[in-house]
Amino acid sequence: MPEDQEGLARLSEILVFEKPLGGTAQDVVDVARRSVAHCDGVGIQVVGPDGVAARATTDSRSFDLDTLQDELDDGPCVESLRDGEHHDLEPVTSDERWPRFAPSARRAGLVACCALPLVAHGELIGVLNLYAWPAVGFAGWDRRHCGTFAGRASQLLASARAYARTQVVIANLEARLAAIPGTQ
Amino acid sequence: MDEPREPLADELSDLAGLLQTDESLETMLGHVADIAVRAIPACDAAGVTLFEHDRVTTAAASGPLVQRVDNHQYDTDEGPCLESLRTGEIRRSPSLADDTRWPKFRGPTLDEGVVSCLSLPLVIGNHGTGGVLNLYSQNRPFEDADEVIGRRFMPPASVAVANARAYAKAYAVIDQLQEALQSRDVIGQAKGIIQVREHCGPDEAFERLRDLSQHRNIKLRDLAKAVVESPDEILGV
Repeated sequence: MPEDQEGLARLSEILVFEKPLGGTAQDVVDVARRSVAHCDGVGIQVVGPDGVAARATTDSRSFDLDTLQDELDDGPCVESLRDGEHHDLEPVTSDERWPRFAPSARRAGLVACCALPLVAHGELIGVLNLYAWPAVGFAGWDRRHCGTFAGRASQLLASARAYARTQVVIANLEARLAAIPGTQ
Repeated sequence: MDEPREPLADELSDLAGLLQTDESLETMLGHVADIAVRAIPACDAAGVTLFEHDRVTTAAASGPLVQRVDNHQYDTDEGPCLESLRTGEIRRSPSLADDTRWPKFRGPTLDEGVVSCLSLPLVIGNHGTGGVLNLYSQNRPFEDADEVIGRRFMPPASVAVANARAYAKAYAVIDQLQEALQSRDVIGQAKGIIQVREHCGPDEAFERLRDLSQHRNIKLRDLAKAVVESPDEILGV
């Protein structure tokens, strides 16, 4: 099976109840890095009603790039989370597009970043950030595969997030029940 | 050799994504059965049998034939589905008419016009065999090629079932806890009413409730509800 197809198959084999949401998000970025061509690092943010519900990155460089965008409140990932659209920082993109993020990221060796919104059942539930820092040249992303991958990841993470919520509700109900003095 | 109808790969990897907050387990399994009929050449009908609380049930089916044939297995306590469930292995019968393994199941199933069957266990690691995807053919035998496609089907279908069941189980726990909370709430309210009316402490109030419940042979929670709704009637004016 080609790597991209294998990545989609692996995504479909992730159980949503075995790990906390952060663990499932970690599985998704690990599969993404292996299955998306020319991708050197991946970061993800899953959001919920109370803000960021989970974050994961494949490596420290991707962690730094995700954090940088957050701290500067600038960059393709931040913008995707704002408008639910796909945004790209490409080698030819003007620094003016993201004036705070682009120069710092390029100094750190980043060549390209592709921020894919995660949308499930019409709701924006997060963003998947693909990073490339090749030593020479950049062959570009397979956009169709990236889009398909993000779509599948969205469904999976929506399920994982819904399951994680049931666990929170259960913990809250158990706490309320425990707080009531026994009646039997 | 028949090739699976593309985009089988897409449909298979879509399976696990089918678990949605607004979709019931049965609906999701219905999709699994429908995709199996589309993807596996010899397959005319498909269903998913689940094993829960020591009972087997046909949770979803592509058509009425599936439930009828499944019932022959449940009634006779034999057949490819039950054997697949018990062993966690695939069971295939290319020609039921020549198959001597399940004599009681065979007759009524042949009468339904089913000539061949294939049962694929849905197993998740240490979570056991949660169910079986049963495929029935009325026209041609399930061959090696069908089984090869069926095997590709198993991991995502198993994950989809396991995910959906985990979700359903979590919801059942939430329902139980909510019911328990409401029950405690109503008992607490009833105790409060008794404490005020009879100038007693919470333990005495509870004892009074329990005595009333025993004398009237009414469940404690039901009695508490009655006290809250019409205290004069239950406790006397």
